[in-house]
Amino acid sequence: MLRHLFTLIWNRKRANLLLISEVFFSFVVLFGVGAVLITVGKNYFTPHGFNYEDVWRLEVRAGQGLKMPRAELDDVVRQVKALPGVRTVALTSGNLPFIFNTNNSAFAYKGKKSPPTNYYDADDHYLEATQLHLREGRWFTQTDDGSNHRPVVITQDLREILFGDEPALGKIFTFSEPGPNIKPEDEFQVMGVVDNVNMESDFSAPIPAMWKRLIPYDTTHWETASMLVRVAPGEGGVLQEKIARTVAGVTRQWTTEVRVVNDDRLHRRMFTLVPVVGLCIMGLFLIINVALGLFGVLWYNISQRRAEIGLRRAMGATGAGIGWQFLGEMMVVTTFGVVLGAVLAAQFPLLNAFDLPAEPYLLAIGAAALAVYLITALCAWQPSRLAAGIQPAVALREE
Amino acid sequence: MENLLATSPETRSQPAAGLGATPVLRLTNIEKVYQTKTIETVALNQVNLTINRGEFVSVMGPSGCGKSTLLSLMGLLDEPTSGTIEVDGRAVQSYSDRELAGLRNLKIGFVFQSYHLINDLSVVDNVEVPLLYRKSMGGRECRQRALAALDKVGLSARTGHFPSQLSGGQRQRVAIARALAGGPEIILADEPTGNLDSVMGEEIMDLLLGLNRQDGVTIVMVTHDEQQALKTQRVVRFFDGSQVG
Amino acid sequence: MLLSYLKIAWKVLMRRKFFTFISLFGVSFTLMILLVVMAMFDHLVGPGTPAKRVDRMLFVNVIRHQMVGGHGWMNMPASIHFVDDYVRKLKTPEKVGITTTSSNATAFTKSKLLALDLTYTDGNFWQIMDFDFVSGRAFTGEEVKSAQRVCVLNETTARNYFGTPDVVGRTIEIDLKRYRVAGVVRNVSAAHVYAYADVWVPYTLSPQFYKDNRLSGEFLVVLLAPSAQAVPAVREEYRQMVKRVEIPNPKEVQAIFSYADPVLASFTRAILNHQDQTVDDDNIDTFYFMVGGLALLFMLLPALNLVNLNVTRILERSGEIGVRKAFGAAGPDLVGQFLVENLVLALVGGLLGLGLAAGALALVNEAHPVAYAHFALSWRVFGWGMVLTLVFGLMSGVYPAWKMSRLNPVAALRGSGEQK
Repeated sequence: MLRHLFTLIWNRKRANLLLISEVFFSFVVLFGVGAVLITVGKNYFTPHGFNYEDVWRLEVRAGQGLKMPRAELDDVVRQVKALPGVRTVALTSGNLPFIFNTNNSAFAYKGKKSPPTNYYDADDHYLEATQLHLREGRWFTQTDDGSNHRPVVITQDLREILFGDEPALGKIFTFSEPGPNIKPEDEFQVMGVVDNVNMESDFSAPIPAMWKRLIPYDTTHWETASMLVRVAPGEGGVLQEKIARTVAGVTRQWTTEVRVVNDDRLHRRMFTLVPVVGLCIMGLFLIINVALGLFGVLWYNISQRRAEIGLRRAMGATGAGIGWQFLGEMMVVTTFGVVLGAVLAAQFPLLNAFDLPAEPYLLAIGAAALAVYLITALCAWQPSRLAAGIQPAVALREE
Repeated sequence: MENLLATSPETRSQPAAGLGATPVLRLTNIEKVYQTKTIETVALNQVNLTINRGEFVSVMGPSGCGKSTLLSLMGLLDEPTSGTIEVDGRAVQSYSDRELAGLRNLKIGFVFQSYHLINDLSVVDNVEVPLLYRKSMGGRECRQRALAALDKVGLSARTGHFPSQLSGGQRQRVAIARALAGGPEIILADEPTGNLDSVMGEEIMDLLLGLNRQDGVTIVMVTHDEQQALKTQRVVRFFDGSQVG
Repeated sequence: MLLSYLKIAWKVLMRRKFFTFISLFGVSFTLMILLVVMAMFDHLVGPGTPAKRVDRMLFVNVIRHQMVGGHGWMNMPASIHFVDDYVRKLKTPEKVGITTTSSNATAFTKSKLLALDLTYTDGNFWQIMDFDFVSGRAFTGEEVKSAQRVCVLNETTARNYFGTPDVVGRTIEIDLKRYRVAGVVRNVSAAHVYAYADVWVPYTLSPQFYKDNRLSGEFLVVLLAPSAQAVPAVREEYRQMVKRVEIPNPKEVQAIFSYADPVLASFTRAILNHQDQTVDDDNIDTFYFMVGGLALLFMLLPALNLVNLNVTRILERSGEIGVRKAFGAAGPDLVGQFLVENLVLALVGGLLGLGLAAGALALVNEAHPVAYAHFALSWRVFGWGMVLTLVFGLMSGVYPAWKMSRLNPVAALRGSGEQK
């Protein structure tokens, strides 16, 4: 029977070519939308690795070209920390969570090179402020003051890339291209390992990250001091104003910005959500369009092939058999389109496009194939039933 | 209204009277072979046929004898495998698709067994179809000619109807009006009464005979009906692709 | 002839309502999506409050510094020195105004933190842009010069801070500094990057207001040409002027490049420039090429769908095609007829799409993804929609029309779809 179907389709190849190309393009569209949705969805359900609730970012700016004396900055930190409702204040670098600001570089340990890795400055209170999940070792403490190398904490994925199964604590690594003279502060000694972290957006994949311990003299060339402030649950505008006024109380020259990290997160996710929703709407519309078109074409074909159907019935085919034949024909046509589409789609994981893992691509190929079969089956079902219901006597008389 | 049908003097002459006959269509040594991958079918074999101006010729023969092929060749819808077709003394084998279309438009009118009216157009719009492809003709003139042709077949009262609202005989009249509208040299009718009952068939036959006798229209008609064939001036018989009489 | 084609086209549309529905669905939704995208694009670069005279405006985003010895590039907006001593000296522009990209500022009401976008501008800015003032007025060049602490607010900020838009003369505290409100304007869409802000204050209050001879600062320059025709002349004079700019630190900076571009070119130059930055190319052709390609690609699937339907339905028309051929229609005549039919379909679909687009934009506006943006259909978008309709009609009509015109008339009259 299958052989018979293939012959039939081959003999009608011209007419079927259009159907096949339509199935092919639908597959490509579904694959594209599917790959995006699977990637984005998977990232959405991956934990962020830190607690963004009840954390504010506090940025104090001295203005371009103006220095930020350490004494006054210390004063600001101490006074803000003393405010009721403030749990802790951690000094960090400008690449705060969920804002469009990143610092990254590649690191290496004994020839093993990392992909671009986010690196942050962090002081001893950072762990408490962000509530990162410590897996091994410890966070920085004052006892690190005397350390010869720069104490760092890394994420689990960076640990796996650089150290594999070997113990990581105490190991020293550096930039992948460190230059001729490695400064001691560029020799990073692993103090601890935390769970994978995603500080980009709800829809981003975790990126390897590293926190370098802030050493005191760092702040003197700062124009902006960035801080993460953990506050008691339920704190709001009143405390934000208090913080701003506290900073102004230290120096009127500096400007202050206090923002809720969770608001930044919601703002940031719009930048992914809006295009993804747009893409889905477009994909959905294209698929509905194709489904209607396929349905129309198949339905029309059935009405054109009434004589053939009558003949087959006269020669002993059952109504159900005719129905299955038409459904089967469409499935074979679909298979051609899907195979072509899959060959194209397979290039993405093969060529490692967009540096994404192969898994979402393969899933997307599977999902797109399934969806295309489902859609064509649905479109072919009603016309096939129509074909099954044709009375042989009537059909033959028409001819 | 009558003279509207005869506006192009070079395409219309006096009814031919026996001797001084001029050929409208001449087929010389026509052969038509249908070639498929495996088999070769000879549809027409060495056909020589001349249709003179003002003649009413019927073509007879059993099914599959090549009558329809002959008619499509005469109508320039198809090309012979070998042999020449001359229209008004000019051989057409080197003509392009567009030139052939132009020739069909000017010189030839078709009447089909199953009418082939365009269901989406009203009667008068259907009759106008051949005139639409005459670029020089304005809309008003088209309309007038179409109405004149409909008048000729006795359907002036039904110009706004649609084919589905007409009886079979009426439909065939519309088809004849359409064939007449362009003022052709020759009308090719393929079993014009084949789909009609005998009364209606008779009416159509009378209409064609009238057109031939009174207006001098040249007609070639394929038919199965011996009675009808006998009413025409000349009968050409075919059997298995060859002319037998 | 055309009338007859149109008649037939209409009849064919009405004959099989289901097929007509499928075809119209495809055409209208395709065009709807394209029109929505286009309306957004038009909102971004077309004329609209306050940039009503955008066709006369040129924008300077950055000065590109080529560093000595291949040490790369530094791209920064202009300094006041550059604006005052070079741009304001140009002869062809009617006006030169400056603004900045908005920076974050904070104001506190009784219990709430107002996150504000604050922009520094000069007096000319208010004469180049046509803001809708709800009350009060813009600040003047004089007030800017004497660095008075005045500001203009948008309506929302005035309401949020004071509870009423009628606040001229009152004082607002932003980043713990006090400003007197000179005027209140209607909200400006955040998509209008050169005009958007919640609060505007004189540039002389900016921490970036340096009086030395550095070239880089934070100021975006807006030039107003006396007429749309004069735009190229202004552009050229600016280009010549940049060649004369004296580089204050020649040991570090080898050369500078800067261009005054119309609004779209100013985006495309920044976004699409990946090659050599010394080349003066605003990439607008590349942009149109890419956008056109994407639009075609997007239309491909619905067009293919329509082609498929049309080809399938050729049989339905075989009798008509046969008759027309027999009565003297040549191939091109038939191609013309079926193209007209498809264009009629596309046109009906296009008009439907226009209606759908209006509805979709109303939904988008309801969700306001961009602050204060109100997307709307304009005559320009409508015109482009019609062009797209035409392209779509041709894309989906040419192949079936060609196929139909090639039907063998003898076979067509017998009622089968055999090809010549």
